[in-house]
Amino acid sequence: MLTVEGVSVRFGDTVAVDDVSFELARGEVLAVLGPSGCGKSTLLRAVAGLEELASGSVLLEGRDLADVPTHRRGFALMFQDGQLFAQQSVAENVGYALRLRRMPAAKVRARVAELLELVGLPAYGDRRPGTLSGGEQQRVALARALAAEPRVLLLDEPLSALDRSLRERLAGDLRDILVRTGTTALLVTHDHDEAFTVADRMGVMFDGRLVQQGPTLQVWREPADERTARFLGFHHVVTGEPARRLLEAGGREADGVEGCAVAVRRSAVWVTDDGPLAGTVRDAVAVTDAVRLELDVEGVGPLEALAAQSARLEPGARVRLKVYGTGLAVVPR
Amino acid sequence: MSLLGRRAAPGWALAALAVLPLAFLAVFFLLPLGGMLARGFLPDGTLDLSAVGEVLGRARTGRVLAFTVGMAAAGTVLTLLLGMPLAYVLYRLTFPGRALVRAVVVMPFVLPTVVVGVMFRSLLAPTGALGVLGWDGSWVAILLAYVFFNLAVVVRTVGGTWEGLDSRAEDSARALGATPWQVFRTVTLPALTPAMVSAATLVFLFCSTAFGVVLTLGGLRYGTIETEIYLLTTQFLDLQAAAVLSVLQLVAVVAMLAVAARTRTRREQALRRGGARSAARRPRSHDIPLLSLAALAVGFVLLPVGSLVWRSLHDGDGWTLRYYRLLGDPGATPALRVSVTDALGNSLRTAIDATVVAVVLGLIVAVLVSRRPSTRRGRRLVSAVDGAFMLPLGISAVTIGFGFLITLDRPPLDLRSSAVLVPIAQAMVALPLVVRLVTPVLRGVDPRLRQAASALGAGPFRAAWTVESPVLVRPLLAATGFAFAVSLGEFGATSFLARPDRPTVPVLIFDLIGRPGADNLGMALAASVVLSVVTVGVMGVVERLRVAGVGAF
Repeated sequence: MLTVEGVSVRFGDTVAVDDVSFELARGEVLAVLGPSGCGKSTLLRAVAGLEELASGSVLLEGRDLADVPTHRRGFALMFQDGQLFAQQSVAENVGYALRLRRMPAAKVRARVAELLELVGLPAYGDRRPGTLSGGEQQRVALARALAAEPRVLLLDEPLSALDRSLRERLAGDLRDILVRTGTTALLVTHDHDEAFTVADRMGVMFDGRLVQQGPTLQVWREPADERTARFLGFHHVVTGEPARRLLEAGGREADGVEGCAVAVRRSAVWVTDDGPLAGTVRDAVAVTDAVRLELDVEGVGPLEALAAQSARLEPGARVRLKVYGTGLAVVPR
Repeated sequence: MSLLGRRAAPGWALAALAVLPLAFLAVFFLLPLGGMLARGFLPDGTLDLSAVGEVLGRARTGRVLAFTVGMAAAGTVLTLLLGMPLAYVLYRLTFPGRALVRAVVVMPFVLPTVVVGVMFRSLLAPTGALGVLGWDGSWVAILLAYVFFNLAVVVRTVGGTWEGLDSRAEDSARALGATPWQVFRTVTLPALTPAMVSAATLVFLFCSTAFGVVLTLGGLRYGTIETEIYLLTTQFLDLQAAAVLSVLQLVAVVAMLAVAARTRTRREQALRRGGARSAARRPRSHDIPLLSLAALAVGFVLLPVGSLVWRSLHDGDGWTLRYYRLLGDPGATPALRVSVTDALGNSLRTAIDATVVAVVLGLIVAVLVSRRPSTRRGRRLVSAVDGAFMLPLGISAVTIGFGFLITLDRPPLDLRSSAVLVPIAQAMVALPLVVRLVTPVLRGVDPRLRQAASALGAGPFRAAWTVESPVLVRPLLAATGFAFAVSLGEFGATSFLARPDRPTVPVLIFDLIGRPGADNLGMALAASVVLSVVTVGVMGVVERLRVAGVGAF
């Protein structure tokens, strides 16, 4: 169990990490999600022992790590651009931690082959890192980190440098490998999908503070406040009577939400033949798997929505709208 | 037709542009070098190589070679050992006053060699601060001067690379369980190796061709190839032997430059890959050992400087400005025909002329060698030109100086009595440095910028002007300052070419320290201080321009 208690990190006058606490159980994957510059990488470096704590403590199995230097913590770090050692071959990179532990060469070879197999790159051992694609480099970096059998694996935006289709595929593989090896991991990222796919639990970080944490699906559905909601992809926040109408249209309990706001995902509102709401199309843009609309919705106001690609919608067209309750979140104002 | 003409233009224009610097190189470098070699190998108009075996077989030649190589190797190792901690402290840590310390460390590199010699003599002389060590006139003094002079090369070359290394590779290794020493050995050191090899090669080159320092500190007791060539030419008039040694030096220098060039390309490639992310941090308690070593190195740089200044302000009785007053007096010493201030005027004028020549030609060469021709032949040509203009960096300045005297003394080029020889020789010395400073900046310009300008309708010249001139301003100013400082302190070639009635300050200083008398020595010290102040002032301005390449290769 990794325990982070009231950790703060300061650079001069700026507070990069401000009183952050969380727990990470063995075998669990926690993602800290936040916009760039929110302090999440600094938090990761602080856990690794690479930044000095201004206050608070990092404990592993109840033992304070304050006096334990980075190289004795038994962690491993993986960065978005791999940071493979350019002068070493792929196999040498993967076997780095094992050689540090003076494991016999034959055993190192066997273990390296096993790990390269695990990350889907058998027969890459003799290659130089410079000859690999970005995705392959990340796989090697993962193998190198796993070779150390880290007590906690620290991942700094591990997939952010890759293009989208590769990122999606690798996120699934990463989740798979972490679960299969039972690795405890702390992941920081600005990418929702990456956090959502890889992690069991999720925390949201703004301006150095951890504003919300919980099971991934729960955070995804029930953002703690408006800012978190917007960051997690809720496009609109409506209040008052329009909020009540949306909740009712989505089949959600609307009593007792006075004084609250309702955050709406674009995917919560769809054009159908017979929805409870009516609106006028202001603009329509085709995207890969739907048509994205800007609407004036009667009794609600401006809203974004989606329509099936087959729909032919010109500005000015009148449409009926259906609301999915799971795409709405009640947040305090 | 007009389209074709415009397309062909850059190639022809570049070739035309190349004519000027190539002609300069041919007349003022290859011709004197050739003349010197002809005197040696074609004494009677026929090839006579009998001297080669004889000269190389001499016991004295063996001693000189062993001393040159041994001292250069020792100097290189010592400079690396002292320079590495300093590079770490100055480029991986941040602390108040770092810019000042960086400037202090670069200073020796631009100090005139003769001044460096005078500094160490003033420090190590029996009356000097470290006189008790008894190193005056010994090889230790020469070795220390080598380190003093070349520290900047190691610090700036290695430091520049170190600063650009992404610290996250080291973080990865630490997290994987590597101790600080293991991180350094397995991750940092391999990444720094190309820069270290590059720096070491150049330090070795500079050490093994040092002239002014060896002549002032070793007198005639210790000879390197360079001083031996000087002796053979001026004292023994043994031109055959001098030519043999010149060729030997030429071969060795070309080999070393080739090694340096190869590691440099590799380094440029490596740097392009790495993402630059400033990793400098404040010092922590575990940096204390390295900080102490760095402080030692800085002290080593400051001690001779302080000693020079202090002694120039003291005579036997105490504080005095007497030596400085004497600088303006033409009759101060019967040894001199002109006052030191007159010589300073000469120095400044010749340095300005030399700077103009070096910067104009250097810019042309830099533009040429930063092109990327599409044909293999074109690329070969460019790299050949690049190499050719690096040659003067390592060829014995003595060979050039003497070559000037024996080849440019008859029509059509009778320049022996002309005042242009000195600035031309100095420009030849400064030219490679200008090229090295400006070329990387031009090479760093993304060619797609030029293509974008062309696509928008700019002709080849207009496109190059739009994209490249803005980035050139600072490096050109820096190169100008650097060329000026180098010309001001040039001694090897100038000592041959300066006319007795128009000496430059370094020549005068060397003259003064060779003569007995407290006033002569005091004036030499004071003149060294004045020359240093001018040089360091110019370099201070250059440093403010923050161009990365000064002193780094």
